[in-house]
Amino acid sequence: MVVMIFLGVMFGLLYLQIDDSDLGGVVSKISVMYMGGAFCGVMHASAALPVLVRDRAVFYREQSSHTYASWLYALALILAETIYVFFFCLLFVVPLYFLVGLENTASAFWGFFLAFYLLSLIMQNTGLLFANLCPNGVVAEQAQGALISFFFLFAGVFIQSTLSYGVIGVRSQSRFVTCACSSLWQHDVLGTYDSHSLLFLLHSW
Amino acid sequence: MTFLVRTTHTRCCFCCTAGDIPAGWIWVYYLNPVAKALIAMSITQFACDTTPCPTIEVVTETVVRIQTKEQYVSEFLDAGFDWYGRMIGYLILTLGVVISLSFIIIKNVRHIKR
Repeated sequence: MVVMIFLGVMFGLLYLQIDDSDLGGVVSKISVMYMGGAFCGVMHASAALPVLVRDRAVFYREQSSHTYASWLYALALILAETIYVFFFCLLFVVPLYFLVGLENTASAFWGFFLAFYLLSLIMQNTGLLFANLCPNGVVAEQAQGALISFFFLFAGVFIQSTLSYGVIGVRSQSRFVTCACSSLWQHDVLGTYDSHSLLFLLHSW
Repeated sequence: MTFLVRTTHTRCCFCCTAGDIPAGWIWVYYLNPVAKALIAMSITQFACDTTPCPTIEVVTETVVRIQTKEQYVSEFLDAGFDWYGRMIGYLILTLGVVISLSFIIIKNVRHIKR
């Protein structure tokens, strides 16, 4: 619970009150939705995994003694997690949404929350699926990590570095991956670009 | 460590927009629940219900053009702004499929070693 509130506040402060009257602001808002969904989804998926793998031995024992039907066990797990994920998403989304300065209407908030909640539920249930499909926790973690990374890589978004970082004044130049990519890229591309394209490069990076 | 790596890598401007995904990989984008959730969330934030719609200056490789925010986001995510219901429906369908698979796996898969 504390982790979700912390992450929500942290993301909110990173993207504090974004002004979307220019291109950077619009891309920043898309980015915060993407990053928020990614972190919350990964948190739910990875938090569920060790518990579910550990409980599997108990389930097998009770199943072999015909204590209950397997579908009842699955239903109980899914229902319990559905309520739990709802409250945890709420704890994450409320500080994030209002700190970032997203659309301040009830319909926009609940519309946003519904999509966010469904994504978290899908991620959480993917964790449940892998916990029961894979032979052990390590394999389940690797398989789930690969699938989630694949999903987020192909989500159709990238984050521009022309962001305002609110109270935390970190610029893209302080991030080593950005610097590395920028250096490699400029070496190959910059020589072939004209002055207008240089403006494009500066806007993009 | 995972937190650090993911934060730095996703901010490195290296991933591509929907329009830039190669043709051979575009099916992943269309099946991807993350993209659907992102489109649904973006629709709630950038849908234009006032006249005139707010505009932004978009800098591309060849021109600087004025576009409405709605138009820009629509092109960015390769999605229409009347797709909210469709995206939520797709997410519910995906959730249904994942839950059904979980039921089948819990019923049939055993990893007991004697």
